[in-house]
Amino acid sequence: MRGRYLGASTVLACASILCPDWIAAQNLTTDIYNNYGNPGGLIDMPTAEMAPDAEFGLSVSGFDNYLRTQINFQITRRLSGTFRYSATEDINPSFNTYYDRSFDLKFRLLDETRLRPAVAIGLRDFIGTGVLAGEYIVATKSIGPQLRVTGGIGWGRLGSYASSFSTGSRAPFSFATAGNGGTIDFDEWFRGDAAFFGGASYRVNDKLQIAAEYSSDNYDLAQNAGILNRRSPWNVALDYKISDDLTLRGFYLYGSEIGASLTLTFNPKRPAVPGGTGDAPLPVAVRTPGSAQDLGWTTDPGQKEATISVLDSSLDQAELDLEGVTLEGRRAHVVIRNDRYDMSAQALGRTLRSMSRELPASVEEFQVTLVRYGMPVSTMTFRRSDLERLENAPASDALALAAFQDPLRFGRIPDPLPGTYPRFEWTVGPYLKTSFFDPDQSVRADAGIQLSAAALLGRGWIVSGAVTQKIVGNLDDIQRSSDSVLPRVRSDVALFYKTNEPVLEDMTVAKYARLAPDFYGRVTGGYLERMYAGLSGEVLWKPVESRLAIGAEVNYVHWREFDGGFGLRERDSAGRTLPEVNGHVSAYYDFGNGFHGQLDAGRYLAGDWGATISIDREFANGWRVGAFATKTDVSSSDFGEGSFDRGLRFTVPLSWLLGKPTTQEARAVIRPLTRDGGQRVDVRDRLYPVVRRSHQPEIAKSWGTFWR
Amino acid sequence: MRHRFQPLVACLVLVAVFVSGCTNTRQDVSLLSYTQQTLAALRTQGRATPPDPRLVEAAVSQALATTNGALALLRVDTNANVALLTEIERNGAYRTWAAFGTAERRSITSRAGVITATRGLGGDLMSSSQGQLLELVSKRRAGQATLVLRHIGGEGSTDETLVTCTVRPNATELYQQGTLRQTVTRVTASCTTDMQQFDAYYLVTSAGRILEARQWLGPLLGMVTFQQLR
Repeated sequence: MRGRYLGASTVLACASILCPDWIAAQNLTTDIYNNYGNPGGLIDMPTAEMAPDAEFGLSVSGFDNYLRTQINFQITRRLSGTFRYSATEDINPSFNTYYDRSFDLKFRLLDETRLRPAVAIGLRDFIGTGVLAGEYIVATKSIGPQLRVTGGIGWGRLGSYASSFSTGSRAPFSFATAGNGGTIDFDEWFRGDAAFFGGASYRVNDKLQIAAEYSSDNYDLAQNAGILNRRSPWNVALDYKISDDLTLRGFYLYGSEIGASLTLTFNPKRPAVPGGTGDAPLPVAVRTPGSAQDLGWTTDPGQKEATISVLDSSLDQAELDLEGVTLEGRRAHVVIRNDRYDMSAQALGRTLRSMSRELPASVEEFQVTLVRYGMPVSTMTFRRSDLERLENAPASDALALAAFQDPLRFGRIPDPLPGTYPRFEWTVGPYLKTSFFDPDQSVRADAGIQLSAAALLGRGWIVSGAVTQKIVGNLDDIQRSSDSVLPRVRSDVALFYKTNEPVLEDMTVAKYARLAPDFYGRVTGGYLERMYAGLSGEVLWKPVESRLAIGAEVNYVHWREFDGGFGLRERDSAGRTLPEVNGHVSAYYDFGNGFHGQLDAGRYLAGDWGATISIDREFANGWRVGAFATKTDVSSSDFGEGSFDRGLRFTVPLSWLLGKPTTQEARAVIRPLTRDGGQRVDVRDRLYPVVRRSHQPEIAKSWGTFWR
Repeated sequence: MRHRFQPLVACLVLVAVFVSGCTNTRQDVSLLSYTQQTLAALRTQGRATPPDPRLVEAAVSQALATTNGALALLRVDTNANVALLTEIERNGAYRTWAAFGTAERRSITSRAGVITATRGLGGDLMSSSQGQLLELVSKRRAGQATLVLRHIGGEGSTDETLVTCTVRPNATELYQQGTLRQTVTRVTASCTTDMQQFDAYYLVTSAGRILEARQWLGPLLGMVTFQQLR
C-alpha cells in the first residue's frame, strides 16, 4: 500500500501553473544561483532575490582558470549566507593555483510590493583574505511572473569598472597585504570607488531561464595577471532545470569567457516523506464502561507479573525498551529507553498506546519516564481517559493535557527490571575521514572499517570504545607540517594519519548521573578521542520545561601517541608543553524561533583563555545548521593563517532522508582551516544534547508525531 | 510536499558519516537498507497497473468465508493498489482497519464509512474533522461543508488543510460488493483547498449508511476509494 508520491507532486505543479499569483506570493524567491553561489538570476552581479527559507544551494561554477565550489544557506527568509572555496590558476605568482575560502552575506531590507522593488544589502568575502571583497545595495523588481529587472551600486570589486563616484578611500587589494585573513575591515565597507550595475532575468518556461547583465567588476587582478581579457561589460547566461533540484547553467562572460555551473538544491523543511513511511502504531484500546472499577487483579501477584510481561513485548514490538515499571491499582509508571524514534513525542505516543492495550482497566493515570544513558530525564503524566477520548482529535489537544516534570521532583522512579543491565551493544560498519582545503590537494580521505562497542552496566555506567582499520585512503600523503608557535594541540593532525595499523579511536569509562532536581552530571575517563586521553567532568543545569541551560566542564588531558595505540606522549612535545587542565562554563539558549545560541567561555587546549559563540538554525526534524567563532587571548599573528578559529557545522537526521524513524544523524564541521588556538577536547556525548532531546520544549516542537 | 529521493544529498550524507553496517542496537539503518529502499522505489516508478480484478474478487470471497468481522476494500489511485482490510479496533464512532491476513503494519481509521486517518502509508492523514460533511452526506442533503485535514509537516509539527465542499445528492444506483447488494444514492462533493480542486462522492443507503466513499486524503496520498464489503 506504500504510495508512489510523484503523482502528487505533479498535481501540485499543475495547481501552481493554474494559479499565477502563487509565483508572486513567494516574494521574489528564486532557485537559480549566480556564479558566486548567491541566490539570484544574474551572472556575476547580485540581485535582491532570496532563496526559499531554509534552502541549501550547492553549486560548482567554472570558466577558464576559475573554479568555485560554494554552498549557500537561506538562514532566514531575509538573510542568506554563502561559503565559498575557490581555485584560481595563475592569478598569484607564488602559486600555480591560488585557493581561497570566503564568506558572503545578503540581507533583504525591503520586500517587493506592487510598485516598489525589493531592496537588499550585501557583503562578499567579508571575513577572508578579501580577494573577492565587494559590497552592494541592490534593487530587484518583477514585471509580470516571468521578468525580473535588477539595478544596484557596488563597492570594492563591484565598484571597479566605470566608477561613477567615490565614498572615502579604500586600500586596493594586493596579495602582499592580504595577511592571514579573518580580519573584518568594517572601516572599508562601502568605501572607495562605487559603480552601477544591472541586469534582467526572464523565465521562458518551467525549464528555461535566460539572463543578461552589465557588470561593474573589472577583474583587475585577473587582467593584470593576463588570465582574463575583459572586452565587454556584458554577460549572458542560460539556465536549464534538469529536475526540481538540479540546474545546469551555461554563461558567456566579458566577451571572452565561456563557462558552466551546476546547482543542487535541497531543503531541511522537505523530508523524503513528511511524517515518514514507518510502521503504523497500535490503535488505542478503549475500556468497556464500568470495567475501571475492577481492582481484583491487584491482589494477584501472578497477574501483575503477566501484565508487565505482555506490556514489555508490546513495547518491544513498538521498538521501545521497558527499563522499569510500577503498577498500582489506579496508576502505572513506566521507564522507557528510546533508541529508535528521533522524535520523542512519537516514542511517548507509542508507549501510551501499548499501555492502553495491556494494562488493567482500573489504571487511569499513565506516567512515562524517558531515560538517557541511565539517567531519568523527564516524566510525562497523561490520563488514560484523555488518551481514549483524543485518539482521533488534533494532536495539539493532547499536548495541552500532557504534564512534564523532572523525574526527581516526581518521586520514586521504578527500579530497573531484571535483565535490563548489563547490556552489550556493538556495531560494525564503514567509516570515512576527510581533509579539506589543503592547498596541495583540496580533498583527501581515508575509508575503512570501524568496530564500536559499549557495555551498559546500569545506573549510568557505560564502558565504550571504537577501533578503526583503514583500508584505502590518502590522508597519509599530507605533507604540510605544523608551523604553529602554540602547543600543537590540533595542527599536527597529519601525523595521526600516518599509520596502516588498527587505531583505537576512543575507549572510556563514563558515569552519567542525576545530581539533584534540574542537575545532571557526567564523568568520562580514558582515551577520550584520537588525540587525547584524560578525565572529563561536567555538570549541567537544565529544568525540564526551560529553554535555558547552564553547564560547566573541566578536563584533565594528556597527549596520545600518533599511532593510535595505548601509548601517551611526553607532555613536552616539539618544544612546547601541553597544559594539564582546560574547561568551560557554557550557556545554552533556545530562542524558540528556530534559532539556538551557545556561549562557552574558559580555557582551551593550548592554555589560551577566551570564548566561543555559536548560533544554530534548528529544525524540529533534527536538522541543524550553525556557525561558530572562537576568540582567545592568542594574538592573530601567533594564531597564524585565519587569525581565529571559526567554522560551520551541520547535523542531518537520517530519518529525514530515509522516511523511517531512526535516532542516527550525520554531523559535519567545516573549518576553513584548523590551527591550535581556540580548540577543545572532543568528548563523546556531552550532557546538553543528551538531556535536551527528552525535555518538553524539544518534544513539543514535533508534537505532530505524538499520534504517528 | 514532494517525495524526492535526493541521490546526491544522500551520497554526501551517507559518505560523510559513519553509517552502521550491522549492529545489535535499534539503530539498524544502513547503507544497504537505504539502497534497497531506493531501488524498490525506482522499480515501482511509472508502474501503476491495478491488480487483476479476478484476484481481488477471489481474495474477497475467501475473506468473507473465513471471518465474520467487518471487511472493506481500499483502492489507492496514486499506485493503483488495492488492499483488503479488516476491522481491528473501535473507539467510539471510529474504527481502525488493517490489511487482512498479512502482518503489514499499516492502518486506516474511518468514521461512518469515511476515512478520517491513515498510518504507515507515507504522508499520512493524522486526523480530520469531517462532521459537517458526514451530516449532509448521511442525510443525502445538499449544502456546504468545511473539512479540516491534518498532516505532519516537514518538521514534525501539524499542518492543517482547510477543504470547502459543495455537497449534492444525485440519482440512485445499485451497490454490489461482497455480501452487500443495496440501492444507494450517489452524493457528490465538489471540493477545493488553497492548492487543489477535487471531486469526491459517497454512495449512501436509505438508512444513511455510507457504503463507498471516494475522497482526497492529502497531497501525497491523493484520491482513494473506500468500499464496504459486509
